[in-house]
Amino acid sequence: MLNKKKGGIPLLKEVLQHVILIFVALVVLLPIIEVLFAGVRKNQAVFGPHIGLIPTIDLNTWIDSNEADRRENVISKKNLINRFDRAVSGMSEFDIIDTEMSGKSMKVENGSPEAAAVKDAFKKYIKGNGNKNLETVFLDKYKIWEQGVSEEDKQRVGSIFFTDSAAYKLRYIYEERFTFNNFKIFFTGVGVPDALNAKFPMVKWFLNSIIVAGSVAIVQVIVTALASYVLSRFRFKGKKLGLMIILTIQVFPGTMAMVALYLLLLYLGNLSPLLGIDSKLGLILVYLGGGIPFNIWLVKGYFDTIPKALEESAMIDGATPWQAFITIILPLVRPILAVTTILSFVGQYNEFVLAQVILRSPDNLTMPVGLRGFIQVQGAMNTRFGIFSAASFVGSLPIVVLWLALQNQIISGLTGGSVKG
Amino acid sequence: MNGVSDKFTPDKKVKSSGIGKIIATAIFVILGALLIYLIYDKFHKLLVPFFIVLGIGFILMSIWVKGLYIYRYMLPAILIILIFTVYPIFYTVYIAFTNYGTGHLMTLDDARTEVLTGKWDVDGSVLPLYAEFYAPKDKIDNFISNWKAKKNDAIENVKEIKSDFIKKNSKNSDLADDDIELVAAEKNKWYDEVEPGIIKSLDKIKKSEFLAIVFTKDKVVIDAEGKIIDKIETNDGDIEYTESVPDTAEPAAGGDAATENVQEAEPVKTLIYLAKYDNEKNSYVLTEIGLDDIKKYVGDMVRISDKVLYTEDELSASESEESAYDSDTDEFYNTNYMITFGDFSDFENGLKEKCPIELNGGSYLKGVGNEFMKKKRSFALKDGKMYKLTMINETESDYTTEVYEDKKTGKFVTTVDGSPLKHWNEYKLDGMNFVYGTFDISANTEAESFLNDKMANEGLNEKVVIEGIDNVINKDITTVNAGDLNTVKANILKANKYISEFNSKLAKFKKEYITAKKEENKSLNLEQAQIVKDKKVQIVELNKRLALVKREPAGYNRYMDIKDLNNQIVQLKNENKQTLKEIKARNLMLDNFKMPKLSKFKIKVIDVSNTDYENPIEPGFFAHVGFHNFTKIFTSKTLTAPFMRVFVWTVIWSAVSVITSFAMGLMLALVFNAGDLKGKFLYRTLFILPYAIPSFVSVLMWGGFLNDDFGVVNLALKLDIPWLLDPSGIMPKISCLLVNLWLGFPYMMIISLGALQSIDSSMYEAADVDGASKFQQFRLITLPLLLITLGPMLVGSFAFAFNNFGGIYLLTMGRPVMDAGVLPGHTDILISFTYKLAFGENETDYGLASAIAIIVFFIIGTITFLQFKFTNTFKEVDNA
Repeated sequence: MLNKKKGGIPLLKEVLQHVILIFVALVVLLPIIEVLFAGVRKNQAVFGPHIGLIPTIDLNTWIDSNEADRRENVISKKNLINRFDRAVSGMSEFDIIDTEMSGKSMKVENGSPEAAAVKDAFKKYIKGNGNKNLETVFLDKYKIWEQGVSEEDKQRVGSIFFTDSAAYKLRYIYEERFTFNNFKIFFTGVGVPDALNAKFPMVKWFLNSIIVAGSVAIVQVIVTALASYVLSRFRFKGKKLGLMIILTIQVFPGTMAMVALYLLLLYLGNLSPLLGIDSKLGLILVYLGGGIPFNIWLVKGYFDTIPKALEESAMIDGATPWQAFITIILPLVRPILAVTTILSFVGQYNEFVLAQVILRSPDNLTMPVGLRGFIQVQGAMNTRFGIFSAASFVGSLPIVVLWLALQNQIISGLTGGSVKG
Repeated sequence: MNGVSDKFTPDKKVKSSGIGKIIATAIFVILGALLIYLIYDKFHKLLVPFFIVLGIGFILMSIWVKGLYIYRYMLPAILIILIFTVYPIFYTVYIAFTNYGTGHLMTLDDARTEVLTGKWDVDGSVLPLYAEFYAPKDKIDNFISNWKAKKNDAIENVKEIKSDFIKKNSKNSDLADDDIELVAAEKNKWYDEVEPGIIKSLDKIKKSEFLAIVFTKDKVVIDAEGKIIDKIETNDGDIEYTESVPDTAEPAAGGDAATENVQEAEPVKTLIYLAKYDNEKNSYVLTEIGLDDIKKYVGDMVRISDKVLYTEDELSASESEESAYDSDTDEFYNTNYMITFGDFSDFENGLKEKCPIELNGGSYLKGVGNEFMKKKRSFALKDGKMYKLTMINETESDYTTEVYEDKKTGKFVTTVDGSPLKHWNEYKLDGMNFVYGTFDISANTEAESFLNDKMANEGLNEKVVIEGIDNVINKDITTVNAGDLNTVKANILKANKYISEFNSKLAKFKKEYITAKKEENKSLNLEQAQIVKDKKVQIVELNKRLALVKREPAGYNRYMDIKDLNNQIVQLKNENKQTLKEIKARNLMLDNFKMPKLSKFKIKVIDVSNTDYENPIEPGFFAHVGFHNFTKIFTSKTLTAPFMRVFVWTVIWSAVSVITSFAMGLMLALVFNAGDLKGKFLYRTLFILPYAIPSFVSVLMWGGFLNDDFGVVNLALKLDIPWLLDPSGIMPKISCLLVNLWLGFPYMMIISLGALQSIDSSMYEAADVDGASKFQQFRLITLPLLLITLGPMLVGSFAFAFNNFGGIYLLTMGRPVMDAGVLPGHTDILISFTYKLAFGENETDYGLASAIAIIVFFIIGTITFLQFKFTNTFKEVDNA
């Protein structure tokens, strides 16, 4: 595009450019690659929840896997000690709880010789035992150690691990093993670790997202096309006022009125449960209200670029406005309608707040609301990251494919729409 | 055909006549007035139906009226925008001026009205705390006819019993037939008397009225037999049942002993209301009716059992085993013809269809209360104070009882709740003793010892003891009766009387102490005054000497003498000043001397608006509070500082995230744009990927990566950086910005690329000719031109980031917390703060959330207005 003279070292320059770009691209894309790999990796827990007096194996993830599986799980001693330190350093005192026996609890101040002795003993043990940094060896040895140690010490060590925060901090390890287990969990909804009674119908979430975003996109584009046509082609009373109102309203996203929307749906729910809180239809309506003003503005701009002479000639020939709209205008504006549909589909697919406010029951959630539970629920992230990765891979697929296939159109829509305001 | 096409010709202006304009104006005025009325009055309840009606009208109009054909196209858009966009905005504004949220308790009257007019589930999942019974006239009629039948049976019974009685006592020659006749006649007489009353009373219940019997926490005691009574043990040891008017504040005869026996019976407290249908208000209005008044409506039913009760004297002659004898109460009664309050069961069974509530004892009330609380109904604010119902504790052992007095009615109520309340020391009743904390005179040891001596002499050192409180505390709410509470009140009155006496004695001590002290001080003062006097004389003499010395010839000695004398004079003067100060202070101390005082016991309305509860009440009713929410944001001690921090962070977040992602996007765009780079399309695709992935996935993914303990960033790079949980909040903020940079730069790259390509390349050629460097070209040509094109979009991005809830909340949830007890966290932006206020785990406050949303509205509105001005968007509307 620029007619510049090529310098003496154009090749070197180009190569350098490519190297820099590839480097940046790698840095940028590394997280995506990591997620892709995490999806086919199993995240393992080293220590389990509050089961007994000493750190034992997480029942959720270990009981079903065999010894061989276990031995593939690697954690370095140093890492273990680091984590141990981190687990106990934040605490001003340890709660030492005899969980099994009497339920008595005593406190040992962090920094007191007692606590230091316990810590030292433990570290010493980790350092002195196990070769090749094998975590399983550590665990095996630890079991033996457990038999030789006085009950009191065992309790102390055990309970240090098993203050709730500590137990979780000590639990994470990657299993460097290829597995489709996470995808299996995604499609069956069964086998999510630490799930208790929670339900994870992830396929349903995915379908919900598609249904909600899809119906919003379709209805929106129909409604928008009709309204934009009139606003672009006809003069009538209140047109300017209407346009002004639309222009003003599209400034405010629905997020800001979430309280009112929630209460509105609460009220509508009394009229009919179909429209109320925890209903997909209610969410669809709310999304529609949020997107239509902006889209009307966007599409109307495109309508304006199409010469009126086209339909005027049609109308002279006796066509009604409806016929003119259907047969002449609609085919011409197809590109912008497609872009609007895709953009609003992507937009609603991504929407989180209103869905979070409105949807309640596990079966009705959309992807963002549901998947949040894998990362943001206390203590769950470590064991569930693999499933999250698998789910987000499946969840992102339609959007990413859409993007890559139609990127030129989407980009034109993005820039065009944004410039318009 | 011609006519039709004429009509539908585009751009034809429809002319309207003058009359049409007037009508249209009138319609708009009416609609406006209606809207204003709705906003002020029943906005939330009527607006949706209003819109529905409006919408249907609109649809019909646009279908049937040919001139409105244009609106047919716009109809769906208009309806959706009105209901789901315009209405919520208005409603947000409306809520911002209310106290809509949890923590509101409606007043008792409101609660009752709600109970009566609200929708209650038939399956019993929704039940009011005030278990209410109500029935339309026919139900009462049924009951009364049943009652009449029973009464007739009873009369028959009386006759039978009379004959039995006569038969059985015939052996007993001492008992005259006349006496027996007399007893029986007494019974019959009562029925004869009562009957007309009942019938008469029924006439008073109009068709539109019904009777409501309201069960509540306080007031009346009914014993197992259904009588509304206070049991009072007289001095003789006899038990008398008296109809009590439980509203009387003073305890009956000697509160000490009155409270012993009552808990034997299973009491149920009853409030009785008459619900009248108010045509104007279109709802039922409850008026409380007294025990005496209820007879007007249901007859003397309550008294029936009184009358059938035999005292021992009455039946002393009877040795019959068939007559029941209650050894506990030492009474005889005949079960056969007792018509008790329990006969309401017919009445109730009839009512169950309408209102499925059982009439039962205390456990039932507890259940009902808790059911009610589970439903979490809430309550409006009326007298400036917030009230809140608390869950009634199910466990018997672990609760504390507070006694308080209802301001409105002046009646006692107890609460049973484990949570300590704010005004604890003002009314906490701790066992038998009232532990009093303010009696502290250690500040003045002399006065203290004086006071201690005095108090020891007068025997005042003992603690204030309130008797009989044990009867009130350690009791469940349902078993505390008016008698006990009145006893407490009497005891508190007694204690207060004692305290006043004590205080007056203290005042007397104070006087004594002060006079004694003054006497003591007098001599000291005189002494010191004398010293001052003496020193003054000395000063005069020194001055004289000074004058003499000054006349001497100049020299070292003269200089030294003058200096010496001056020093002496100053010292003396200072000493005098000091002494005078001492005297003054001594007098002043006595003038302002304060003796400690006992303050009186207070029984007050518990203000629990700031206490925390396990079960938050969901909002129900609300009141208009004007600008209270806004003033709260800017003046509240606990809210203003966090709000300002959140606000500042929101602005920083929006600005920095736009600038950084724009910078990176522009950089990449420049690289792509420079010359013929091979594989441009591939690179662009790669760099768009972060934008193509659904943003919730990427934000959550980063949340996982940056996890402080398990995140791959810390693990893989062997770092120990608290990305998301740094308590100071700096690292989490940086994390938010970094993640947003990763998310946002592709978009900026795309739009920059578009804008760059639109720049005329001849400019660069000209610049090359002029010898401008590449950087100069960028600075002087590219950037200004880019900013002109992209400026509005950057402003738009700023506005978007301002509300980018997901970008923050999905990453950090607003954490880490700023301070204990402060709702917003370090990384919260205004919109997520709003979310937390409205839908957070703690108490919700829709009013405040809406107020903050309105502030955001204003900010966004201003920004966008400027943007529109800048891009001439308004002109587009004008040209349309």
